[in-house]
Formats: sequence, C-alpha cells, structure tokens
Amino acid sequence: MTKTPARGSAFLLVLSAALGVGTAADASVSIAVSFDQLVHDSSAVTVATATEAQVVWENGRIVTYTHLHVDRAVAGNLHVNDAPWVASLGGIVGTTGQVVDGEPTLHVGMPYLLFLRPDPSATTAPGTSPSVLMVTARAQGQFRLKAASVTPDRTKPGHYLSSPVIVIRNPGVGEILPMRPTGLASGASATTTPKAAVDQIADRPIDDVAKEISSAWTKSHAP
Amino acid sequence: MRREHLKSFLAVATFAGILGVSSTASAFCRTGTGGPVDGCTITPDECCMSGLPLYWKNACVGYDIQQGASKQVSYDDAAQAIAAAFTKWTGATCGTDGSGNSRASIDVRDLGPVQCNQVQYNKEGPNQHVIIFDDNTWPHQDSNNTLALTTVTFDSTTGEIYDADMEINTAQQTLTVHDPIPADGYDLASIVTHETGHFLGMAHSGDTAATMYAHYRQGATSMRNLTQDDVQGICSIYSPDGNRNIDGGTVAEDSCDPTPRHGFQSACASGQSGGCSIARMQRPDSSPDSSPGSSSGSSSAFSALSLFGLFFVRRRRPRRMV
Repeated sequence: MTKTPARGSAFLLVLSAALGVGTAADASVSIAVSFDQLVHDSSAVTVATATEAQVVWENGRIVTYTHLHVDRAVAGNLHVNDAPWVASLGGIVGTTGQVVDGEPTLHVGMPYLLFLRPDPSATTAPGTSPSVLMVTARAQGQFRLKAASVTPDRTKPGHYLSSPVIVIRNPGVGEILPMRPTGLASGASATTTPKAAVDQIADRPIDDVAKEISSAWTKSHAP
Repeated sequence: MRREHLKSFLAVATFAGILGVSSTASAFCRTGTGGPVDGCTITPDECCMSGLPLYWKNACVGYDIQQGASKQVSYDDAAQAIAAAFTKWTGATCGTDGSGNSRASIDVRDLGPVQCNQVQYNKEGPNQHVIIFDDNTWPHQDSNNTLALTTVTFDSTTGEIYDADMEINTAQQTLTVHDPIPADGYDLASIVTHETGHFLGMAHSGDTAATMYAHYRQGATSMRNLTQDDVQGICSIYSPDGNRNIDGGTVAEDSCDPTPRHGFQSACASGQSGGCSIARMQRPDSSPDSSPGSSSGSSSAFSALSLFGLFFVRRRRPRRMV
C-alpha cells in the first residue's frame, strides 16, 4: 500500500470531524462472512462515492445517513448516477460522538466498493427502490478503493475509475473469527472452510473483482 | 503521526522504560474520536486511528448487567466472567513510578442488574453502562456474523468517554463459560476480555499475540489473558499516578465515582431525539432528500475532492496513538 491515499484519508478524517461527519466503526467480534454469502445477502453491489452525510440522534444512538453517488453498477438494482442513502450506526453530533464496533465508515469524498441491502427498519413503497440501504454484513461489506495513478480530471464523477483501481480491506471491520468449517453438522470427517470475503476481494483490481461478483450474482440471484 | 501524538508516545515510551516495562513490541493502539483511517492496514507500527484518543476521566467506572442475563449464560456466570475480564485490565501492573503506585489508575465496578436492555446514551438524563445478552432478537442486520458489539459515546472535543455499552449476541450464537470450548461454541471469557478493552478505550493492536489483536482463532482461550502489549496499552491511558495521557499532555483523574453521567437509572430512557449534523460536498441546489435514482453528481463535490488531492501529499498519516 502506498502512503498517499492514507495520508489523504487522515486529512479527510480530521476535516470530517470538524464538519461533524459521521465516524464510526472500531472493533467488534464478528464471524467472517464468505464471498458467496455477501453476494447472496445483498440487493446491489456498487462502486460509489460518499457525497454527503447527515448524522442524527435516534433513541439514544447516533445514526449516520450517507448519500452516495453510484459511479459504477456492479450487480443488482442500483445504476450509475443513482444516489441512495446508506444508514450506519455511530457518528458525531455537535460535540458528542459515538463509536460502534464494526460498523461501516463512509467518509465524504471517498470511493468504495459496497455490498448493499435494504434497511429493514426503513419503509419502502411497494414497487419502488428502498429509500435507505445498509451495508451488508456491516463493515465486512465495505471496501475502500485506491486508484493506481492520479487522474487529470478530478471534477468528473467516478474520475478515479479511468485508471487501474485496487480494492483495499477495511481496517474498521473489527475482530474477525474464522468461519465455521462446513461439514461439521453432517459429521463429515473432512471439513472445508470457505474463504472469507475480505480475503477473496481485497488487494485485487476492481475490474477482476467486479467480474467475479457478476458471475456469483448470476448464480446466487437466479430467478 | 501527528506531532502531539508523537510527543505523547515518546513520553509514555520513556515512562515505560523508566518503569521497567519493555518498550519493544508496543503495538497497542487507542481508539480515536475520528475512527479508523480508510484504506489503512493495522500493523505493529500503524494504528489506523485518527482524532483524539479516548479515555475515562473518572477513577472509577461502573457497569451493569441486564437482569436475567441469558438462557445460555446465567446472571452469576455472566457477572463472574465480566468481572474477571475487567479485572485483567484494571489489575494490570505498570511498574512503579516512584510514588508507590504501580497499577493502572482505573477501577471498574459492577453496579448490579438493571432493567434496561437497550444500548443508548441519554444526553440529558441518567444512564447505565449496560451489558446486554440478546437472547431473542439480535437488533442488528448481521445476526449470523456478529458475536458482540461495544458502543462508546464520547466528547469529540476532548476524547473523554461519557458512556459505554456492550451487546452480546446469544440469539444465534453459542457462547460458553466452561472449558473445554465446544466445537460449535465461542469462549465468552475471550470475547468479553477483548470487548472490555474497547470499553476502556483500547483499539486493535498489531501484536498478533495480544488480546486486542483483531483476529481470534476459534476455540482458543489465550485472549482471556493480557499480553505485555495489552498491559502497555492500558498503562499508556491510565498512568499509575492517576493521570490520563491525552493528545499532547495529561489530564488528572476525577475522584472515584462510578455513577454514570447525569446519574444512574435502571430503566432505559425513552423518547430521545434531537440534534443533527450535516456535512455535504454537493451543489447548493442539490436536495439532501433526492430520491434513489436521481443524479447527484456534484461538480462542487468533485472540485472539493480536487482540492483535497493537493493535501494528499502534504499530510502525514497518524500512526500509534497513546
């Protein structure tokens, strides 16, 4: 990993804190989700940039609603230029902050590969797209993107996609336990442990990952 | 690493050296008000945390266990396991500082069972630092993947922790307090020792042997016991002399009072709302309520990004926070 993106992130975090942008996701104890499960449980997979955040108190919890701009539709029911809202726990309101283990952290201005699903607590009119989404498997469904080179036109949405982009693992994913080996329940002597999604996706070019997601999506979401 | 953090780190490293605590393998990290840094990988030299380090100012912190605990774990077993976990941290020996004190200057006390079974922080009224076993329904969307969560509420301008609550997923996960750990179970003691570290302000460590390391081998029980790295971490926050190391200095502890902020209450608070922060990088005419499917491509947003790009090469990323 080169240092440049992280340096920028550090600056953005400081700026975000000053602006009251939501920050969350420290550490939880989670069981690793498999790539296939992540695809199966999602309603859409997108490459998107966080453009705005609204942070509110809800019943003693701080919730951050992040507005996305979809830069590339990978699979599912979101399209380029769609602008969904994504809810996550934690953030800063005024001078009070809340850190919630393992929640996705979407920083305004940053691009991500996101596995998304409808927020079950949000109301949706029949036949319409859900108004609020969540990141599938919390921070395990969030991956930062890193462009291999600086693009000449940063004003263009999705500008970073004009150069090779690498998918990076999320440091806020929390404590991850290995998945349970399959075959234990059936008493099989030989067991296999599926590969964790983060190990299958991280540190690879986005184009390769997108192809793999599309292929898995076709199998997983076949009518 | 910000210069203030560097100063703090050097101060603690010097202090640790004086106290006879090894300064090697100090990979511990403290939770920061800014959360994790995007695209960063935690290593022994990299915390991936930003903002101010979190700490409890009071010399004593209380916690409560939801009455009834769990069908899987009785209240008494839960109380014993959680008390043991906290004691690992509060009993950490930091070395002597010349004043005769050697223990981390934080005490944690079980204030007994409470009715409240929700994670929440009451901004204006009494609170409880509750530890909840969710037997019936895990109130989050990832019930198959999450074993436990700790939520920490803090003052974003100082890093002082106001409140901390812990949720343990017993709705769809099998936890045990007895050895040996069954093949399909998880060690409650290991989980709560890790989570109580977060409760006290610790973040993940880059030391693979530490209790605060971000990965855990199923069936293992080694996380029940703190390593030198964990001890160095807790001692870096709560110095034996009673000071809390903060960003660029120290803050003296408050006198011992485990009562939660704004007082104690067994029942949950109700009907809380109010307060909102908005940050956006959009055109002024762009509605925050634009429906899914509408375009929100924002020239100003991406112009701003371009401006940020200028800083990418000028800022140093933070490393360890102490």
